[in-house]
Amino acid sequence: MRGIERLTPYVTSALSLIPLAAIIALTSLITYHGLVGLSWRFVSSSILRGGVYEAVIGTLLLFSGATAIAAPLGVLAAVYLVEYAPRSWFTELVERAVENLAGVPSILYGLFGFTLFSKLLGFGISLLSGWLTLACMMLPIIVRSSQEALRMVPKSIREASLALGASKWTTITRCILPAAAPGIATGVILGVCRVAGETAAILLTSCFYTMRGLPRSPLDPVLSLTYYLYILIVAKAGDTPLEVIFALSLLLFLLVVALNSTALILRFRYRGVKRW
Amino acid sequence: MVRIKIRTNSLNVWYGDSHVLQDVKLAIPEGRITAIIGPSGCGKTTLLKSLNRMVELIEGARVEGRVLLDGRDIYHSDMDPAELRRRVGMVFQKPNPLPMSIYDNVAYGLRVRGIDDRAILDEAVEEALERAGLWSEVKERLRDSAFNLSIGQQQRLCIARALAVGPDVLLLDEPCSSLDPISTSRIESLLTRLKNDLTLVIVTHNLQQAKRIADYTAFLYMGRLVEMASTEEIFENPREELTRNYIEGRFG
Ligand SMILES: Nc1ncnc2c1ncn2[C@@H]1O[C@H](COP(=O)(O)OP(=O)(O)O)[C@@H](O)[C@H]1O
Ligand SMILES: [Mg+2]
Repeated sequence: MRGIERLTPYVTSALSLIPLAAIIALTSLITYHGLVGLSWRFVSSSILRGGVYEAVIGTLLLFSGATAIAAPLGVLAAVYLVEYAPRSWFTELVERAVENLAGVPSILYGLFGFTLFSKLLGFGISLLSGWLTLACMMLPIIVRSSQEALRMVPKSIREASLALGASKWTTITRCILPAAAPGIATGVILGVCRVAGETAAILLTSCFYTMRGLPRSPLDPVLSLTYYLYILIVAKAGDTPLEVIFALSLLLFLLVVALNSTALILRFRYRGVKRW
Repeated sequence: MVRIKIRTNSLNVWYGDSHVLQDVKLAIPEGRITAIIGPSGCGKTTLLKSLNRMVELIEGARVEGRVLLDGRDIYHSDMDPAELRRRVGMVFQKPNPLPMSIYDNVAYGLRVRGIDDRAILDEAVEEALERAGLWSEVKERLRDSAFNLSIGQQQRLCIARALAVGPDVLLLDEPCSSLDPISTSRIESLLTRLKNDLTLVIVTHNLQQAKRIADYTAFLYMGRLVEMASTEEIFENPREELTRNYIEGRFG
């Protein structure tokens, strides 16, 4: 027994090196091969001329639209759950559901989005269907982090505002939301992170392989970095030089890392500042 | 004879099943300082919060009985709690500035009433800070965060903020309990000055403080009002044995 106990720290620290090693291996592999092909020209020229321009713009369109839908909805839902909903089995159920939704595999979101938005509502394979599907994926994360941020605002701030004759709604908009804003912003970015590397949901709802150019309306299909990468690997295997695939991978990798770092920095600064 | 500003009649408060205020009958004289004393947990904060309906924000709280402000029942359905709280302001045990600048803290109560005129706000902010004895200390840094003030200054800011909306009554819940002696005496002299145009009710743990500043003192014990009289009477010659024991420090 004592022997095992003495060994435990060594074993656990050795085990903890495995993920670190994996990250280092992945990063160096992608960087090593990707740097060869990654250039401003690659990012800014059309797919027809060997670049990824349409996929970059498509990705930005998908993210920003989904965020614009999910962020206000998610924050409002959190405000309702934290500030207004009576403590009941129903509220409890909703909160549990939100928690579980955050873990649902993205292919199921894709299937759901395809069935509801593309087929039932008739939006087809389009930017709009993609926005709505990705928004559904982001919502649980935004709701949960916003709830957490709202709950962290001390009761004394509510009391101060209400005792000065402010209504509940005024208290929320003027005191509680501003105080919770950094936490909410972190949640929104985490939500974007969740869909940043998303392929399955987009594949089913918003992309056509034959899509060329940029969407002219929200009802047009769109290309994204992840989807284009998938196509290059699966459908055009052999046709595409490896350096293009790795350049695209590196681009995607950098994007996800940038988003995650932003969330991390925000969270860190939020913790570091004493505000009450 | 002084006029009575607030009168409670068979005031009962429950938190869930626990009956924390029982048949409290109290009369708060206008333009005076009334202290509420009693051991911790006896219901002082609850009583204070019943006077401006802040008690309704506590989960599970239930209020019965009447609280009359200038003869009007504040629990009547035609009384707007926000309007009531502008007339009956409150200062809390722990200074609780809002996460904004000094200026915005004081202007807050006016802004939420829709007053946005810069000149009016400037004047009201200066006047309130002046009355709270804080103006000379902060006039150069009104845009600073309120959290940069010392704890004692923060508590005076909270008083200024409450004064800015022009209340008739100010409720103070152990306002000095987290302050050093110098800040405490500043607040005590401030309160003595304020009673010229305000009715003040102060909960205090500190019997000496009640003795120093209160005109009347009410002794609360286990949710019941044991007695209320002039401070002199309570401290020199209480009617109840219980009060005497408490004053002489035999419990609590
Ligand atoms: N939010 C609450 N929920 C349930 N019971 C409470 C709550 N706040 C206070 N109490 C109880 O009510 C009684 C009176 O509390 P309070 O008015 O805060 O007393 P005091 O201010 O004299 O210390 C105490 O027994 C306390 O434990
Ligand atoms: Mg108390």
